[in-house]
Order: sequence, then structure tokens, then C-alpha cells
Amino acid sequence: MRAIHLLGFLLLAGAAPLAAAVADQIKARQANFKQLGRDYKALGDEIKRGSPNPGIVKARAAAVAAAASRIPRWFPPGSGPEAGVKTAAKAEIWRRVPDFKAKAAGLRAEAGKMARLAGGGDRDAMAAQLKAVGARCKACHTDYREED
Amino acid sequence: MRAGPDRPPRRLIWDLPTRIVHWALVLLVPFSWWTAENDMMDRHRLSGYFILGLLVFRLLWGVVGGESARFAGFVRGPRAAWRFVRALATRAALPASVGHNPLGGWSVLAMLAALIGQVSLGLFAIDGDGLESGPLSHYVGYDTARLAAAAHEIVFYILIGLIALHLLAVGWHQFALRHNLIGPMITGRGDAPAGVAAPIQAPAWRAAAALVASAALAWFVANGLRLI
Repeated sequence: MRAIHLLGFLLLAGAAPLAAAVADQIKARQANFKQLGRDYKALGDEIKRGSPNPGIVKARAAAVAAAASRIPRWFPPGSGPEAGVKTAAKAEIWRRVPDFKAKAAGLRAEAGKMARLAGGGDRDAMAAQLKAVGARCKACHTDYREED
Repeated sequence: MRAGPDRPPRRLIWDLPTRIVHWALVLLVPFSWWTAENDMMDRHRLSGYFILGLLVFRLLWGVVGGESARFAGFVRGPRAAWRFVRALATRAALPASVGHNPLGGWSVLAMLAALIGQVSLGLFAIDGDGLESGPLSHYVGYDTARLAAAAHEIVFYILIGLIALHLLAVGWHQFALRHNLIGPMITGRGDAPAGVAAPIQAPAWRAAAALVASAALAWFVANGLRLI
């Protein structure tokens, strides 16, 4: 009897930090995506201006590309809806990992192109590429994110 | 139609521009809601630009339009509105008039204000990803644009509340007071009580001028306040 209690205690003691770690992972993921949204908006706003500041364009495009390459790491197993923490990430992400990773790679490729274009002064090309990046963002949101 | 002494003459109450604005809003407000719900943001923005143009037109028409459309004609003080409410409550005879009654005038102003607020917020709003944005959102930062988006959702509910009140009032006129408001808003013509003059109409060139001005302004805003 006592052994079972002890076992239960150990399980609880072990599970609590685990749950906290998952909650932290989810919070960090949400913060990362919010920052990605900020960078994407700032990049788009700058491109819309009459004469975009190349420094700002480069910095924001680099931030978007860097975030895009990290996205698969933001979704460790266990950080889905089963964690019991509020998250818009669908369980399908971990059921269809190859597709999820392929979509993330697609975003990474377009974001990389964006970062390379950011060095030049072709505003129309940048605006078009920004849309291509946005389309890759949406591809995942449609399949793998709950509607708010 | 027999025009006997027992039947008041049918007169033009609502001019064509006022009716077009009204029914265009009836179509575009639900369309805006539906396109937003179904993530069709290009159409949602387009709908918003048309509503913006209609609102600018209606504001101009409220100054230079026909008598029943003019703010100076239908916006009455709180005392007149209160007298109207008292008359309704005590079932006393309502003062004879055509066009907006003293309470309905305030309802129109409230709906116009809510629509103006709603369109203005939409111009600055973005979604959380920065992917979808109103045409003026690049003039504000991320957090301000997100705040505009949150307020855009709240004002929608205020707008729905005002529209519901409007529909209830129209229904009440129709069924409780036996006073048909819907027919005149479609045909423009309605019964004018004896002794009340028909509203003075505005010339068509003014409507054309207001249309050009409002379309130009809506286009300018939709283009992010840029001329090219």
C-alpha cells in the first residue's frame, strides 16, 4: 500500500515539471510565431513605403528566414492539444510529420529567396516574393492550425 | 389606384440615392461578415471599400441631398425624441411627418457611426500572422493593428445590435402601427399625411458630384493613401 502511494507521489512529482516544460514549449512557440508575424508585417510595411530602408528590409527578411528554418523544432512531440494547455496546434501535425516537415521546408525555401532578394532594390520582386512566403505560411495554417 | 379624399396622396419620400445606399448596405454588410468568416479576405476588403464609398456618399448626401436625407432635416434634439417616445408609450397621436421620425433619426445616426467606426478599424487591422491586412495598416505598428482587429470584432456586435433594433422598429411600425415603412424604402413613394409637404428633392447633378467625390476618396484610401 505504502509502495503504491510512494509510486504515485513519484509519478506526480515527475509529471509536474514535465507538464510545466510542455507548457513552456507551447508558450515559447506562440511567442515565436507572434514575433514571426511582427517581422513579416514590418517587412511588408517597409516594402510598401516609397523608398524602403534596405537595412530594415534585410534585417526583417533575415529574421523571417531564420524563424522559418526553425519551425519544425517548435513542435516537439507532446506539445499538441493533448498537453492540456491552450494551443491552436492540431494533433494532425504529429500524425502527418513528413507532410508537416515538407510544408515547413517549402516555407524555408521561399523565405530564403526573400532574404536574398532583400539585398537588391527590386521592390516589385520583393512584394511578389513576400506574397509567396505568405502563401507558404497559410498552407500550414489551413491544415494544421485550429480556427480562432 | 383611386385617389379619393379618403386616401392620402402618394409622394416621393426617399430619393433614389438614399434608397440605393440603404439597400447596398443591406447586401454588403452580410457579405462582409460572410467573407470574413470564410477567410475570403480579398473580397472582404473589396466589400469594405464599397461600404466606405457608400458612407462617404451618405455623409455628403446628408448635407447636399434631398430634404428627407439631410441631417439638418431629420436629426432632432433629445427633447423631440423623448416627446416621440412618450407619444408612442401613451398611444397618443403621433405628430404627422414624413421621413425619419425623431427617434429613427438617432437610430440612423447610430448605425452610420457604427459603420464608420467599423470600416475605419478594418482599414488598420491585421491578423496575428501579419498576412492579411487593411490598406492603412502599414501606417501603424503590429500591436496597434492587432488592437484595431480586436475592436473590429467588438464593433461588429454593436452594429448587429443596432441593426436588430432597426429591424424590430420597422417590424413594429409594420404590424403594430400598420405603418408600412418597407414599401417606401423600395419604391421611394409613400403616403404623406394631409397638411405635410412632400420632401424637397435635390437635383441629380449633385448626386453625380457626390458619387464622383466618394468613389475617388474610397479608391484613395483603398490604395493606402497613395495616388499611384
